[in-house]
Amino acid sequence: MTKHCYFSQNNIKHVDYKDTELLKKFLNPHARLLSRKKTGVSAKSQRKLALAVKRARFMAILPFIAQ
Amino acid sequence: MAKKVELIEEDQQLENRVYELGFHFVSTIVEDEVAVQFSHLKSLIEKRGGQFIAEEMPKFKNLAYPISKTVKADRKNYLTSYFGWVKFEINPEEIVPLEKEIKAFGPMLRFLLIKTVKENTFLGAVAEIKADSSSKIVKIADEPVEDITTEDDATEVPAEDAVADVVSSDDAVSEIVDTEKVADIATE
Repeated sequence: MTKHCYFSQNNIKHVDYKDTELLKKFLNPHARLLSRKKTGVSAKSQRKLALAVKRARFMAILPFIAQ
Repeated sequence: MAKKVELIEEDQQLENRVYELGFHFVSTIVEDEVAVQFSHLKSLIEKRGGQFIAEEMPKFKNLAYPISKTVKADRKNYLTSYFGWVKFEINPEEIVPLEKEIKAFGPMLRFLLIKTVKENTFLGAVAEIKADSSSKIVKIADEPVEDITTEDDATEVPAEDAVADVVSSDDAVSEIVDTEKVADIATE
């Protein structure tokens, strides 16, 4: 099965922490970050994504944990 | 040697860097007061030689979890806030004192000061229409932010263009049909 990186496909170079709709795609129902295995995101983009999610959590835009 | 050091220092002073300040104002301030406080905050940046690239007015927002703020002996939990952001270019030397000023700013609940790029990184609703055409997103993402006042505009612009294109093409088709009819009638 071929893997597709969402970010390189859509030519997204920078992941913004304010982009909640985008970030939520890569979170599970507990608001934990999904693994690359599940999303197919490239390593480079995954690092950017993780940073953005952490920033969003700090700014209370995303929860640290959700029920 | 001393001259060299001076030159290097001058170069460093000239090099501005792009930063973004995201912030929450406490929800206890009156809604009319928000714009005033926002301009006060911007004046702090402006005083230190910051040049604004993009911004969003603070909007009332539900927080994902309660944030507490302690003022002297009084501690309060907030579940709502006014969230806004401002992107600006400033000398990196000014950022540490600026951060201290922002921290001491009255209605500030929480803030995040990050290094970023000049281009618009906030795709917002644009990411949702990626299925329609990925080329549109590229255009918006690569456009300098100065042209885009808010990201709402950014999303609207391509949509309007598309509608305009459709309308114009429809007109063209109807014109062609009309001319054909005329031609048919003429031959009869």
